[in-house]
Amino acid sequence: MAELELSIAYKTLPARVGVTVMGALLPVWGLVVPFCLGLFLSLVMRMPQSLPPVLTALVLLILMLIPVLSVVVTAICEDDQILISKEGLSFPLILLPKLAFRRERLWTDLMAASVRWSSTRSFQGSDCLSLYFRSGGRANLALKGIAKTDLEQLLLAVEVWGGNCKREPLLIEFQNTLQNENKGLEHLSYTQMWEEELRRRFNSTSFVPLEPGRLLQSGRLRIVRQLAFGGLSAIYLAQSNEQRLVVVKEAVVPSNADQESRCKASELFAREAQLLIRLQHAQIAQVLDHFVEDGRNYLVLEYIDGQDLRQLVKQHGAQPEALVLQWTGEMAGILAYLHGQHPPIIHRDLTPDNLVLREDGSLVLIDFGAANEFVGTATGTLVGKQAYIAPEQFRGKAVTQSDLYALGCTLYFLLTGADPEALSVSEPRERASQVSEEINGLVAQCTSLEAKGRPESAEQVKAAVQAIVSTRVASLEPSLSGG
Amino acid sequence: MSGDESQLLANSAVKPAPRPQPGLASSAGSAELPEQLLIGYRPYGSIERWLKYRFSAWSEFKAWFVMTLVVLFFFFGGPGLILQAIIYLLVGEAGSAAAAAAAAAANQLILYAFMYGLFAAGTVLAVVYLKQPTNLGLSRSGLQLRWMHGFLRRAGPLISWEQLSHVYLWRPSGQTSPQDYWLCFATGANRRVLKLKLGAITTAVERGQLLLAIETWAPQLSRDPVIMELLAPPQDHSYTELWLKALSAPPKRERLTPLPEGASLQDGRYLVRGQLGVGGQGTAYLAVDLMPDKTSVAASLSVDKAANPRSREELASLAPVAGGSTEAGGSGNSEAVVVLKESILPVYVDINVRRQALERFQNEAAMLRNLDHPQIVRMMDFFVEDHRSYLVLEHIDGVSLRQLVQLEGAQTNERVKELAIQMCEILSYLHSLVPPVVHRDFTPDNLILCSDGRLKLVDFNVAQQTESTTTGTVVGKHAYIPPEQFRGKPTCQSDIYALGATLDYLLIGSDPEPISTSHPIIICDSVSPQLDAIVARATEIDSRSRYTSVACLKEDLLELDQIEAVL
Repeated sequence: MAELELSIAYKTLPARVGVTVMGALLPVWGLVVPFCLGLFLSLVMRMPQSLPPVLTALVLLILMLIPVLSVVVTAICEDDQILISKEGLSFPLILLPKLAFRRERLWTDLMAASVRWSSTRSFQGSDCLSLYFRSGGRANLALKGIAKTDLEQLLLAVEVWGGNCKREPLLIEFQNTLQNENKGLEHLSYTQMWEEELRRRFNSTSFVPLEPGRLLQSGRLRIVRQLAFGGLSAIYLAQSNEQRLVVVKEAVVPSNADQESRCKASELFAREAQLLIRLQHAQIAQVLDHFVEDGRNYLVLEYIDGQDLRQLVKQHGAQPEALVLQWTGEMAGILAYLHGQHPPIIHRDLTPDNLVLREDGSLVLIDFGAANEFVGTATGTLVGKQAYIAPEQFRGKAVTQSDLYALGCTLYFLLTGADPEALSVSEPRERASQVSEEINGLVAQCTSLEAKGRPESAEQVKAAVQAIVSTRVASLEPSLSGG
Repeated sequence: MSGDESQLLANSAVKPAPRPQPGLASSAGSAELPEQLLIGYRPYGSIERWLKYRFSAWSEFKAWFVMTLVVLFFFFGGPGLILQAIIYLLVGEAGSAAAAAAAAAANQLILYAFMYGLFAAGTVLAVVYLKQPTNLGLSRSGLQLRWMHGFLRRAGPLISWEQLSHVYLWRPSGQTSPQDYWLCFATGANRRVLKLKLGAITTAVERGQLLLAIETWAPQLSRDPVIMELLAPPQDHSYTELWLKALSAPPKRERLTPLPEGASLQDGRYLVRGQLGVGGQGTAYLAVDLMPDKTSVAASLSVDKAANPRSREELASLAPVAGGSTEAGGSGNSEAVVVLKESILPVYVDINVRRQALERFQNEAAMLRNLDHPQIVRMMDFFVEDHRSYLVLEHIDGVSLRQLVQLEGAQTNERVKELAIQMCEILSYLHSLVPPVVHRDFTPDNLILCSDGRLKLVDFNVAQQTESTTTGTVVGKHAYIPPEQFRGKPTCQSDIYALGATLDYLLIGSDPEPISTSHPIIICDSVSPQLDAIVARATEIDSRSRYTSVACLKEDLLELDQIEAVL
């Protein structure tokens, strides 16, 4: 690999002023004075008696010093490069005093780096990046004097090569913000998403996902940002006709597939899409459209604004039983609707990530990722969250009760705040002792390893929930009527 | 390896984790093969570099500006004006004759002093500059300072290694920067024969070469461990440069589709011939390496290879020699067929996601780099280009076991047994590493059967994922994943399950049932009962009933021979 050496321009006001002034005076010190010196020397040689010696010496000195000093000052002002190499940094001469007169510093010498900044929109005069060195000296670089992309490179170099130095958290935050901004991502607030979350949502792909700003359907759809991707599929937030926000799901057929399997895959996708479009339920994100473009299959869904249950639990912890019971009823209702279709639709990916809580408190099911048979076979691997997959679904023989297994797992998560163990019966009481027996029993039943051991249908689950709720209300009544 | 050297290895091994073994892990090649090594030694290197920059920064605009000024100056009669001014000055200042004579003498003195002073200064500067050596020659016989100032060439006295007894570091008082330290070589009588300024050896590569030279040719030299630290190259530069290039590259991608035939990468080094396959994680291409003799990052940085004496020769033959051409460790072909494994790196996501993606790639490359087994695919290079990561792997001529079964159908007992023994060998190598490497995707698709009957393992994509959160998407052929791996806690036994499942696949000609113990004899009655028992024990769902190690499995397989011989 080629040696990597970067040079970054660092322009400060004094330096710029200096350069301009020296440049304007160039004729004086660059031409006139040396000329004078030459002439003076020749004159003194020819007429040595004409001047007192002191004056001669003085004049000679001055005439010699002027160009020399001017060159030095110009050099100092003109030197506006910060050189970065894998050995270390080399600073412009202007920073010498603070650097204890050593402008070349090795990376191992870098002790700490910190930054003071007010906003990345436009840097203030006082914003600066400070680099402290072990062997003394520090460099204060005014952020205003460095181009943003160069600043990004510098910070990256500090991070990557200055391994031993201590980088303040503020600096790291600044670097991240800057990097995101330079890519046009400043409107993203990923701070709400935890690292683990990010890891789950963005996995390696074998295709290039669409970039923000891309237009689909002759401009009718504009990609706003990427929400998730991995393998051969991706999910985007998009804007429809410059107005409404929608979610676009993309599925790519591997490029080495032959024409026949490509057609077959598209057919499958289209069939599934037709099935999903017909669904109409207040608590299921509406599938709005399906199309094929550039050999890729797209599904357009309603965008539901809200927080998904995983984020909710991550933020607020395990949820109170009453709320969980209410949600269970709603989930069971959704499943009943799906299973009641002709042919029954098995969701296959019912997880807390796919359930969004709207502002009005209602739950909405948003993802049909795994219901899409196509995605599963294309990659040859199983799609779905490990902990929520029923054993028979894992074996490739999903039934409607597989969704109930996932439901049970989701309840476990909501009641305990932790994901259940894969392929096993889950009892929330083991982890959260305040969970009541009835609910514990329901969850355990739903997560039986055999489909036969689970409730027969979603309606049954709903009925069970209603039963629990009514007994609770009944036990409250005496106190109400008595009071 | 002399006793001292192995002692040194032992000492170095105690060093803190981040550093590679000093000296032996030098990123510059070993100087074993060449007799001589020349490294730059520039005491005034920084000044020279600065001057170079100053003058190279001369822009056209400035040149034109100056030219214009010069022309104007002469155009407006500058010289004449100045001459008049000076004469006026001088004439106006004329004093008495006597004083004038004295003044004349003094003036002449000053003039001469001035001229001579300038001349002397110039000469002194030139002498000081020329007096500094430009290079340091290292050879088997010893050290030698060299002067190579263009026409002026001179070599200093050769200081042989034998006469030196120790090398130490001298830190001038008040100097804290390592660049100001001096490396002093002394004889047994404590007489210092050579003093080298550390800052004069400008690049880490050359410092590493010096250290390697000392360790190879003068192992008896006792040295200060601090010297090792200062001379040893810091972290793996390949990774850090990778990060810098990848993360700071402009977001616009040059290619949005898979590489077409004829595409070239790395400045024309790799030429794509076609696609081999597309997986969930990325695409594999068949390509040609047009410069296989060129150093590859991977070859020159094999840390663990350096520790093994046999491989040190390999290392020396692969790594570059300063300033010279490399000696290829290969067959000397002008081009080599390789496999490029490509994965798309995300661009428009939060920077942390991008870093993670890069880290994953680095980890996979690091893992592959440390594997050295004839039956495991060799990695030759890795790089990032146009927001895509590439692993350059050796091309294995053969068919995957899946393709084999698709072509020929279920395999015979003998064939399966023979393949199984090879699989055991591969797994036992992986599991015997420290720390053990669990492959996690030991499936018929990842095992290639070469034309010479050897089995080779490819694809370590899943293996390097060190954490698998329970809510992460399941990756890998589900028929080959045991329950504990599914639950996110894979162990070496998980690979054994996969091995068993693979054997089952070979015996019955189709994928086994996921998470269940396989009894191939039920489906295909030509399977020998003993082999069936082995497969069943390997695919036990409960890891406690499964084979605990590959060695046990292999034992059972070898016993099969004997049983059949008896029968």
